[in-house]
Amino acid sequence: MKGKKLFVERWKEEKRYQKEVMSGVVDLVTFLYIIGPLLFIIPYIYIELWRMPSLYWSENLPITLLLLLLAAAGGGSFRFYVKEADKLFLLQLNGVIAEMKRHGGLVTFGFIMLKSFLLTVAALPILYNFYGYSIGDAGLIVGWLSFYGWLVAMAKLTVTGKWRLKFVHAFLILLFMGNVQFFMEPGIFLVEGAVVLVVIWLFFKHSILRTGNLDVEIEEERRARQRYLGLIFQASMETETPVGPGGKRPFFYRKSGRMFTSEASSSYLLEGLFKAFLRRKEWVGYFQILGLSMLGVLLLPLWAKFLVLLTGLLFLHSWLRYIFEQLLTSLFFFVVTFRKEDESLVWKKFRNTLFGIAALLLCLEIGVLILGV
Amino acid sequence: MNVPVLQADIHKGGYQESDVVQDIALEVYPGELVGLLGPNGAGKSTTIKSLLGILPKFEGSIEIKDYAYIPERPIYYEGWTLYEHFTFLFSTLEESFPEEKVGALLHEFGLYDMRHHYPERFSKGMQQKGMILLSLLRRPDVYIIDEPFMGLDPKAVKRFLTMVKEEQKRGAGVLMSTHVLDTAEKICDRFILMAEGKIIASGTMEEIRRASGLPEASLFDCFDALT
Repeated sequence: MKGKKLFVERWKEEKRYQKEVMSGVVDLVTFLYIIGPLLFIIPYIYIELWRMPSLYWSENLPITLLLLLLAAAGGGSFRFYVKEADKLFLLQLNGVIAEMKRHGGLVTFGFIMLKSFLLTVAALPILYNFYGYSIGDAGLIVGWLSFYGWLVAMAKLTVTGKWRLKFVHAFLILLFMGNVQFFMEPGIFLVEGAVVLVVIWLFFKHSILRTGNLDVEIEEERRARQRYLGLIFQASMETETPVGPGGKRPFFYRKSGRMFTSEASSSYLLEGLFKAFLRRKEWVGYFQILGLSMLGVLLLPLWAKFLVLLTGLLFLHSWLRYIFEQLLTSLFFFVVTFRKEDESLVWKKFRNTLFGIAALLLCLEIGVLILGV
Repeated sequence: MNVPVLQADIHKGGYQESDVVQDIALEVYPGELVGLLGPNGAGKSTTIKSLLGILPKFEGSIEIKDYAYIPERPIYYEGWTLYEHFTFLFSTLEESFPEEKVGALLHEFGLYDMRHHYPERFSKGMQQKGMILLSLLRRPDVYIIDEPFMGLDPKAVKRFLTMVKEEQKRGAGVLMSTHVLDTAEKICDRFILMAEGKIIASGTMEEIRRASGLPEASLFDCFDALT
């Protein structure tokens, strides 16, 4: 199979995959009540933005904010459609991989340009009405935004290290903002464009059309493919989305220090569960429940405050029980077993601590509000 | 010999939809190393899961003293550092934590500098080393070890075998599933050969040779002839 044909096959497969994901999210009800109305509302808002821009933006807001928003929405990732299995089947056919990646690169170029064009068109009423840019300037802005997007995509494949990549990304954002604010000259645009294109051409020649960077490209492809899927899972109420500990070392108790001084086996188990609770970020859910309950208590009338207190605490109790069972469900406890009789004692302490803090805070809040009234 | 540290009589064992192992009778005596051998899919891991009591379908009886299990794929507790796994282990043994001994062993296995890291981020070999240390430090009556050599470097294999020998001398029994037949032939006292969920031969090297009809053969050749 030739590289171009393989690229087309992978591209079609990707579209089928996206369609399946979309159809899992957008059902008839979602379409009728959210997507459909949005399709009508967006053009209307855009026309309104031209007619009455001050309804949507203020002249006191700096252009930097708008450019930051554009940069955040812009950017992109190279999609080469490479897969793990290509190491087995295509690695020796270097020409096929290179051709597939060349097509993927070109499509990415086009896609980033199209995205930059649409974003600039969307921002144009504000740029025109508030910051004095002309319609003709929009062409240059599309170009600057495209350069930014291409360089970001390239950096994702070439810059190693999370912080180094963040630094490069920040530099590219500044470059884009500087260009739009200070260098709206066709001459500068052409020179800078030529430099960017040469850099990207060299990047293609020395990295992309070779196989030395294949692992990074496969990882980036996987990330790009699952980016929106992750968002959907995070937003879904029915899907369990556990958050594992990040990084190589823990943030809390970095040197594996003790939490309690007691040498009892139950103390070690309780300490282990608390550490996992902190490091697996289960506390986020805890503070979400507590925060929502506190907000309810703050905003609702007196009789409803007590209802919120009761239901919030009941919900928190069952949630804590669920989390406790989750924390104890680990195959590791088949390798190192704990004393079964410790479980009920540890549950009581685990519950009393976390439930007690929440109950105390909520009761204090109600007390302060009542006394304040 | 004296009382076995592990005695199993598995009539049936498997998952919801099917039986994977049948009629498995085995014993491990103190100080003995028994090799559990068989081709892929023979039922070795299912037998081990039966012994641990983590199989959904099981008929039979298991008598096992205090044991330590080294799984084929290292299992750690998500959210604990390697060091915290050791402190937790000693809390379950109700012994004071032997900081120096653990430190020395971590040094020996090249894990000391990463003791405060999450073991999930380690390479497969390093994870396996940590798992082996956790099990060996327990000093139980019997070890159940599933494919211990996977991902271990030769130095770690040698150190592991020395530690197993020391544990045998202490009186611990070992049941070890492995595909590394050359090593198994050198270190095991007895063998249990499995195929298609059943025991097809068992005994000492001599008995395995007799069963295979190859009086001078290596374990590798006997295994080939029998399976």
